[in-house]
Amino acid sequence: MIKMLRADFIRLRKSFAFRLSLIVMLALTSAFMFIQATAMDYTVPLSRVIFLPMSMYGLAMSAFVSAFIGTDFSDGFIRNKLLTASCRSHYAISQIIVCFTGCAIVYTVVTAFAAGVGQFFFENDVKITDFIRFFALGFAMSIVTGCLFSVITLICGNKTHAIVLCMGLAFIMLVLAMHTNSILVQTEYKDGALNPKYVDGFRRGLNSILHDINPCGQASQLSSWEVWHPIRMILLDVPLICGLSALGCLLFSKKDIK
Amino acid sequence: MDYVLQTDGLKKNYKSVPALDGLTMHVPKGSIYGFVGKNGAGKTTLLRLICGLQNPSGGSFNLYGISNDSKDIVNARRRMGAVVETPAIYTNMTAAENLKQQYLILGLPSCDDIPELLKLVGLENTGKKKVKNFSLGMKQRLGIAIALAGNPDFLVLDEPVNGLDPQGIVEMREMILKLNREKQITVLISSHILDELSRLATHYGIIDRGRMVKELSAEELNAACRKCVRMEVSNTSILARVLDNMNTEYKVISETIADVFARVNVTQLTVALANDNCEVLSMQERDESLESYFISLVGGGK
Repeated sequence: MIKMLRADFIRLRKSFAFRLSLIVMLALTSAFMFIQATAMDYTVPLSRVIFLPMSMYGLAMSAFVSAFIGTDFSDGFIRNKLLTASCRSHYAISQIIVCFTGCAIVYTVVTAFAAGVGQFFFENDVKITDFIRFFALGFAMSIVTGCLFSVITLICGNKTHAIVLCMGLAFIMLVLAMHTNSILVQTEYKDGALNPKYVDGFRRGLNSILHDINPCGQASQLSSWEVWHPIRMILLDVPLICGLSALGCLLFSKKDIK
Repeated sequence: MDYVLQTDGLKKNYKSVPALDGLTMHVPKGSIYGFVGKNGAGKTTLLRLICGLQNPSGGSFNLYGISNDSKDIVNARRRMGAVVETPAIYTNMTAAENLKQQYLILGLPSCDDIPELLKLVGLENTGKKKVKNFSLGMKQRLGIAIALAGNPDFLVLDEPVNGLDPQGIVEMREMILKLNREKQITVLISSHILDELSRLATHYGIIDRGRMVKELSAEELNAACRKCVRMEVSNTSILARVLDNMNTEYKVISETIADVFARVNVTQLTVALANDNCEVLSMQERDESLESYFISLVGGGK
């Protein structure tokens, strides 16, 4: 598996999809920063800007991961890899590791770019400890994102189908995150009266878990610099990463490759 | 005889449709085994199974004597190279980069012999040209170069001359023969271009509807497809007596038809037959090709 990882990391370095997704995310970050710096009539705090591009992260990563792994299927190189692999799982794990590493690299570069450049244009209200805490949560989110789209592509086994499926899912996750966020941000009282849109009890708990388990929901919490349940978020991420990887290996090992 | 690959009642079903239906075949070591069959006969399915891309639904196969159920089958597969269907190459990389990927996957210590491998397949001058700009023939040759990385002793090629121009076909044939003769690589070629296959193969396996119809060596095929004169006479027993007197090899097909396997003096023969009151009704030169032999076995147009 180490041999396959080495080969795939070299491929990642040269991957057009990887470079393009990084460039798109950097361009989006610049655009978001430009809008925040010019459109508001007050000085925007840096904390509101650092993770703002993460709202589009899921879509960009879905395209990158599905194109990267999908190329193995469309170009047929997977046949060479499976011919030499000790077992199918080694191939699947290798692809998952390389993809979540790619996602984590894009996340790190984009966050560092936003934090670095943002210092010159926005009011710096960011404490280093808070930044490290949020960065770590975002890092876990990026790994979950990479895992999720890798597993879908491995099971799908067709580049075009995988791109459509992953981007479609990323879009649904984004809409779902907007929906759960709109529910969770409601306060119990509004203008001195009970807020009819406020939900509590089981429905609030369910929406809260859905928001924490959804990588786009996690990204939306980071972008608003307000993470409600950081420990739960991490505790959900770990089984999600392990579960998705195990499911990917299991289903891929039974798959007929053409 | 040593066999590189043996299958025993191998089955593969796609849902309820059988692609392989109890296929039994034997690929002798050092041979060029021509795997012949119509489209959809199950050729590519077999190659996918032995390459580990799919699992059999029933039956078994041995690679270098190692059963497909054994864990060691992985090591046996590392001794083979394969081009199944289309060449397995990254189109956005150069030829050398593709080979480097394969070398890394195989864990080969050095990439020093990549130029030599590229030269072997005639791609030494491709430089930084991306594979997506290669011709079909160049892609096929690169696919073979990748399959040859790691010095395999068993090469599996699926329709290697499909889509190649005449010069490409000749070059491909020469390369396969060179690999077989100089490096003693056993080659399994699946093809339905029978004329081309007959210039290469030392052994044949003819498959139809997922079953092996006939396995035979090139010598056996040549004997079956021997040039002859088919004679229709009024009485083949008289013809047999006359041919025996002339020391000529023949085979009686029916009471009125016989094949004569030698150049005969037609006048002398017809006079001898006329003297014994045997009429010659027709004479026809027959030269059965692999194609006609194949059609006679699997039936044409069905």
